[in-house]
Amino acid sequence: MNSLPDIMARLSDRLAFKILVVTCCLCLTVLVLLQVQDGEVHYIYNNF
Amino acid sequence: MLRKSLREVLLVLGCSLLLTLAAVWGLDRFLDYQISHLPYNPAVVHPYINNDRDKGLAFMRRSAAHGDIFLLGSSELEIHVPQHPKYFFPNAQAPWQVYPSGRAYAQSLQEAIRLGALPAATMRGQRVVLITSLQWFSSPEIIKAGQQARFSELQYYHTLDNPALSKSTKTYIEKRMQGFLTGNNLFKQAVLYTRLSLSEQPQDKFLLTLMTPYYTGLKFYLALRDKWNTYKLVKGQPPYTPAPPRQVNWPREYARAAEEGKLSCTNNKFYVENAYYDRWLKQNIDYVKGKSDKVELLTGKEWEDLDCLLRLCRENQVSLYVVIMSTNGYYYDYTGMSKATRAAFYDKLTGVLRKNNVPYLNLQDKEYEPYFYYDVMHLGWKGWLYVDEQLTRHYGQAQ
Repeated sequence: MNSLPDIMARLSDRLAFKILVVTCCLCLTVLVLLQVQDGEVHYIYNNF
Repeated sequence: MLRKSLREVLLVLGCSLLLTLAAVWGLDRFLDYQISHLPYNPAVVHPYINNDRDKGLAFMRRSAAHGDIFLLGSSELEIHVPQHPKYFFPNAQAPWQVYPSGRAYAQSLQEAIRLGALPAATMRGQRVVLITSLQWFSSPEIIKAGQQARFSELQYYHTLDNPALSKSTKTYIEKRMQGFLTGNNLFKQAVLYTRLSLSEQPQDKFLLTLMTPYYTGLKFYLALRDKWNTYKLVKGQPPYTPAPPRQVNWPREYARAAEEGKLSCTNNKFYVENAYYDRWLKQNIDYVKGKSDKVELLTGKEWEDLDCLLRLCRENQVSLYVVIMSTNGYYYDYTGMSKATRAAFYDKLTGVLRKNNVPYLNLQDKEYEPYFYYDVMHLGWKGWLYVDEQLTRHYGQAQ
């Protein structure tokens, strides 16, 4: 019977798996970047 | 062995990058589709403070596609009287939503950047109203911090990339924004881009070419983030079922506006709304007396910015309709800015607009009409209603 570490070790040898993991990381980075809000200058105006 | 490992690493990185780019492209398409097809709820664009609307492009593009009336202005858009255009459009004669956009310090230069950011093909035939304020012209130079607060990097890059705009128009905008943005780290990317773009030095031209992929990526990122934020806002709105446009009974609305104004202005002689008077004027009433008697309205930099805006509208095929908002005559007389000084300003502004063949609505003769203004400078009950009525006449279908 294969243990989880065995399966992971075998999977990590496979090119497709590595590509999948790196792609997921890159996509996650994009999603994080989409949440970034720019800093803003606040300026209160004189109302009279 | 090492070479094989390196090859594998490069292969994994290359494939992953390609897949990620494909996913990002797919996301971009998905957001475009969703933004243009999700039910349109005007509540999304109506709040006075909405940076996604004011600094983005996706909302603007969507509103243009829906034929909305762009209502570009500044702090008067904050006045929430029941006569605000967001409550009077669509109506039976003018069955279009309004797209109010702007905050204090959104002046000619910022409006130019906004109206240049969408291509001429989109802006052609669009209904665009610009509300100008006398206060824009009341100082030699417009306020730097205000321009920084209203600056949109996304719109700025799009305007500079717009092929319909002349080099001189772009250069003017770049030089002005360089002056306003330099020194604030929030804008260092835009400042560097502007500096390199304006420079005639070969090394700067070369550096700009080298940095083109970076700025292309940055522009794509800013646009994608704008769509993402817009999608989240549109999607988060409650379901919307548009009611049939109502028939406005203008005489009855004027009577109601006068009544509301009368009830709201009871503690001062300027016809200023009570709470505004208590908060801003009461303790400063001696200070403001005569303080504006030296104000010069005819020579400020705002005039050059206005020229740039009108030129840009011509180049980008924007049909502008300008509302020349006057001001509360009772209060401005008190501050020492004479009626003659203001009249000279209105004369100059109407002259500039006539010279540029821009239709306008001049509110000069409303300066002393009670309840026309909410406070010392912003349209109020009767003022907004009058603007609603005139916009309906200007754009509306035959009655």
